[in-house]
Amino acid sequence: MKILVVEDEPDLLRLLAQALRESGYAVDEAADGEEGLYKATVWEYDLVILDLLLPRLNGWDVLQRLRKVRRTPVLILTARDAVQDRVRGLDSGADDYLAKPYHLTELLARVRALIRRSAGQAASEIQIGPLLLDTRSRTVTLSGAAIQLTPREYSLLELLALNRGAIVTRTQIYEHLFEEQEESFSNLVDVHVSNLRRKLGGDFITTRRGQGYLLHD
Amino acid sequence: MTRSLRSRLQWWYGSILTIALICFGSLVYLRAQQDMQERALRQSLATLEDLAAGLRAAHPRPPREQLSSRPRDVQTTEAAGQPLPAELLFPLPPPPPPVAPSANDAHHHEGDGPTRESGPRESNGGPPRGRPPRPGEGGLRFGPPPPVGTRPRPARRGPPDRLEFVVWNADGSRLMQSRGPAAEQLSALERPTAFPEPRFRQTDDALQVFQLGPRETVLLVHRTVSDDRAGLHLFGGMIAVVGGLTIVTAVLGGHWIAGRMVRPINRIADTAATISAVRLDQRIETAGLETELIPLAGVLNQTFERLQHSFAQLTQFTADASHELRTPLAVIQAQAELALLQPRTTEQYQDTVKTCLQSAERMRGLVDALLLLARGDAQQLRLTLARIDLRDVAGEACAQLQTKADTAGVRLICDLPQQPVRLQGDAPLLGQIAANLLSNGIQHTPRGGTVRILITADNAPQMQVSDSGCGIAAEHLPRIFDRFYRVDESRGRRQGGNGLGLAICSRLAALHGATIRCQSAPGEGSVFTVEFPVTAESDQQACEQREQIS
Repeated sequence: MKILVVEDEPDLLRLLAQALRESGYAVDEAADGEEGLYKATVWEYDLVILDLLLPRLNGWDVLQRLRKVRRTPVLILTARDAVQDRVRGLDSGADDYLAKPYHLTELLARVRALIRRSAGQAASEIQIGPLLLDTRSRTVTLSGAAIQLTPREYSLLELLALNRGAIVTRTQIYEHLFEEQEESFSNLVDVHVSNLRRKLGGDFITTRRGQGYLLHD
Repeated sequence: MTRSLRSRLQWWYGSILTIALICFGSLVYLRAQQDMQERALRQSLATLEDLAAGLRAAHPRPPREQLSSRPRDVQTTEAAGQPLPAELLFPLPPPPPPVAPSANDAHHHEGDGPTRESGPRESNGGPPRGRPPRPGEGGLRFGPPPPVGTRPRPARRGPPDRLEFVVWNADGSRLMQSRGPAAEQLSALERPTAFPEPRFRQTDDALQVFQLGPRETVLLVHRTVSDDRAGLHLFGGMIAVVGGLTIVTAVLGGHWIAGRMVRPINRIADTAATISAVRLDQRIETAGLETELIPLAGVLNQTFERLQHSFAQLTQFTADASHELRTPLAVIQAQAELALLQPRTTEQYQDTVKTCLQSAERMRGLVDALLLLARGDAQQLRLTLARIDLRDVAGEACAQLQTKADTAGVRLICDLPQQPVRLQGDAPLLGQIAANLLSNGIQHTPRGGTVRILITADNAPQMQVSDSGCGIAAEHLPRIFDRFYRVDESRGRRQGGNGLGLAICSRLAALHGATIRCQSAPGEGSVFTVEFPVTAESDQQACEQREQIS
């Protein structure tokens, strides 16, 4: 899962990115409105966390322009907590609104909920046959037995699970799993997939040569 | 007395009206009284005159002879060979019964009523008795009077008889006396001693006038004034009633009018009452308001305008201040929560504490700035004035900001004159102005640029901070000294500014009686100038400097 954080306060940006990364998300950062809009338009993020008071282009404008091209979920995170600001933010196309200062745990919960809902998944647990994904604790059990996965492997499995029954392309996997600064080798995805297959056993993940991967429902 | 405008208006208005009406009524009443007295006197004198004339005409011979030869027929005076005017004759004491009464006599002897309606009435309006007869005038006749039916007198209308008379002979006996209602009173009178002139005597209900007539007769005219007095009293009463009604009407009308006048004031008060902190956008409607009240409404509206503006500023300030405080708070909270999410290494914990410390420092700076401004607003900021050298202030500020300038890659130039620039000021606060301006310049100057502080004392002591930074667009210039105003939202924040630096400079400069201004254009850098007031000392310094230069 990849999240774009648009925040002009350097400390907050750093902290937020670190917290999200520690929660297993790939995080891209943008320090002003223009940069944020550019990245959100070009890449396909699972969520955009947007401040409102931004240099160059304010949050409302970013949101309005983004909504013309993308349906990416947007969480507004701002110091402006007046009711009219919340209403304006939500009406401009935001999916959620959180005022600073916020509790990190609440922010992370909202992030999970937004990503889940945008994938059409209401519950926090995903059950596929004997496989059970708990998106809250980011754990996987197979027929009741816990399976140890690296964060990246879990993210890959969650991506496939949220899109189960459909082909997930390699490009999609790159975009959702790897940050822009990361040096990703083209075979990194194959390595993660083969590791997953080894840990899960069976044939949960099917390879469609030339297209991508598929997790059967 | 009540403090109500309406009541007071009415009270004064009613009082003045009452006084005016009392004065006016009294004047009219006194004038009427005087008129009455004058009229009574004039009538009495005229009657006296007529009586004397009649006597002279009727008695060419001494009255005593007349009396001695007085005929029994009262209608004629045989001695004179001429008939006396009937008017003079009827009031004589009743003739002896043997005399056959004429129609005229019969008429006069009938009683008081007819007597009152006869002769004397003429002196009240028509020709007085004893006057020479005029043709066609029925009142005066010589010779036997016509039959009663033909006499015009009873047909006349007028006030009742008020004129009566007595004529005494020289020896004190009565020659003639009218027989009016006061006959009894007149009968009791004695002949007064001779009078050369008309004399007056005022009794309770009458005016009596005396005159020496022909052949030492004494004439007295008795004019009853009780009727006039009654009339006068009635008149006075009418004045009082009409005056009272006028006052009542005027006061009631005044009450109504005052109510109408006061109504717009009440309306203004009502509107003003509805204007509160949450509804400051309301204004008093001046259309249709009385001319005198428009300035009042205007002044109130202006006050509301200012109040609304101040409230808006305050709200904005509070929002800005809370926003500024909230950001470092958010950092501290997020940092701490993140640190606690999972076990960390010592370095990570140190980083966490460092971040928290930085945020706390930033908050402290902001709170200090806010407090300084608040104290300035509340007039609680006291300057510790001392004679200081502006060069020291600038030098210290430069030293203080050298590190920041080095970090930002900006060259800091401190341009100080040879001579001291002395003025009365608070050194720490002036130092804060210099530091804020320098810090502001460093923040807005790109790497490789220059920030320069210049102290001069050409005319007045001056401190100038210029930078080679990005400059400020004209539309922002008027507002750069406003609190939390930022030319570029959040740019200053990232560079550590809190948006209060210039506001504090402006406030501190004002406390020193100095002015601060900014010249700038985009791309050309900015020049901030603090100009201190000219004092005797600074004037002298300027002279000394000029002398040295020349």
